[in-house]
Amino acid sequence: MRTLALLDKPDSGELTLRGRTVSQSDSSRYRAQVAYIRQRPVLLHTSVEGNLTFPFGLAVNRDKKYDRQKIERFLQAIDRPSSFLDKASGALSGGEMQLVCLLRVLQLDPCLLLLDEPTSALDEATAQLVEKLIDHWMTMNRHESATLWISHDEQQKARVGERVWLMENGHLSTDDSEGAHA
Amino acid sequence: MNPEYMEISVGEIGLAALLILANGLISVFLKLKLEKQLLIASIRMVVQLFAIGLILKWVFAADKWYIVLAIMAVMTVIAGLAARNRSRIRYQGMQFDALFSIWIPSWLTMGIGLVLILRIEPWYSPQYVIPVLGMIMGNTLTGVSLGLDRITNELTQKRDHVEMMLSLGASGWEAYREPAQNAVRAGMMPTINSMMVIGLVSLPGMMTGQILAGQDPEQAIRYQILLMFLLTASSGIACVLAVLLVFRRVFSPQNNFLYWKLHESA
Repeated sequence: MRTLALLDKPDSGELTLRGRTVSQSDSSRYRAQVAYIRQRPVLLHTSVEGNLTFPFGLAVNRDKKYDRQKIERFLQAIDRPSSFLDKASGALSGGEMQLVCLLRVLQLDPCLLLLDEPTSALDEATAQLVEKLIDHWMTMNRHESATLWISHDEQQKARVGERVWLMENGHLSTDDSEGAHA
Repeated sequence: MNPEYMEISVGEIGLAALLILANGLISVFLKLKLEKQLLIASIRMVVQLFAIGLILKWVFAADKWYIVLAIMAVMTVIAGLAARNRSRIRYQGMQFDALFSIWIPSWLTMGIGLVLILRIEPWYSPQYVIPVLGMIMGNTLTGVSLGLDRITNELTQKRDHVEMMLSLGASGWEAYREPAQNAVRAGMMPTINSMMVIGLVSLPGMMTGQILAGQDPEQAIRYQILLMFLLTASSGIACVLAVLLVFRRVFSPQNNFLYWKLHESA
């Protein structure tokens, strides 16, 4: 997962994105398109909205603009009022922090979403909200984007997965006949 | 020298040493367990100062540029070693970075101060070069060691934060900027603080020395002001340089954070 997010270098082989080999030099652009959500959410010490506007200050997102209406539509999907945006990140629960992390990357419409056990530290209700938010985004994007979800929860796998790969003792197996190319 | 100047005899120093003995007794009495360290520190202080006194006497008498240069080099290397040792977290090449970021700014600002501003003749006059470089370097050393300590700590503790930014498409530099600012600020703080209270709380050593030696206080403060500017400039450049050198070590040109290069010192 960290390799796919280009945080660590692959031991061997190379990464391709939409048929093009990813050279190490356009790493920032690649990382902006391939969003990585980890188990533990990391937020800046500012308001929720501050966290959401922050990616637009980065050089890669120079030509994108923060769209508050879009965020509010997302918030509706997870039953949060727009005053949620004014909350301080320190006052959020772990689940809410994870939701903010998701919002932060989903608003940028990445073409691949890497989810590294995003709900394993969350309670059942919040975990479902996370799933709902991702589902909402997928529908909005007419399923033009993909997610790669690592999970230890059998039920969750059944709910969110279209194809399931199983990683066992370092070997990757798949439930269908197509070859795995993750 | 000035006729008002009082010479100190060895006996008089011995008398002053009795004061330390009082400290030692307090330590024994209150079980502070400081008496041994106090004794060692006192002896080191006396021996080191006598030694440097002998060296300075010899250097002043010889008055050769290459001897002055050699002394400057030794001072620089010692400062470089000391700056790295302060930090709990190390990386490969830290020694070089510490040395380089102390060396360049302190020699540069000393050169500007003595050769361009004071225009001392000859340029290597040990009477000016050695004390001024010593003071600049002492301050620069503090700045660099605080800066290095801060940046390595920030990067280790905020690894998640740095990687979060990189994941969002930030360049290495964008992810590094905030820890870097904090580190430069931490490195500059003692110098700025000391300028704030100088003359109010503390009378600086050089100025006091000149006044004790019978110099006109007006001239003494002018020297002190010049020196403060030199050492502040040197610390500032050195902190920035150190932080830039660390960036080059822990971020790859492909914007990867090479966190495994930072490790705790044994």
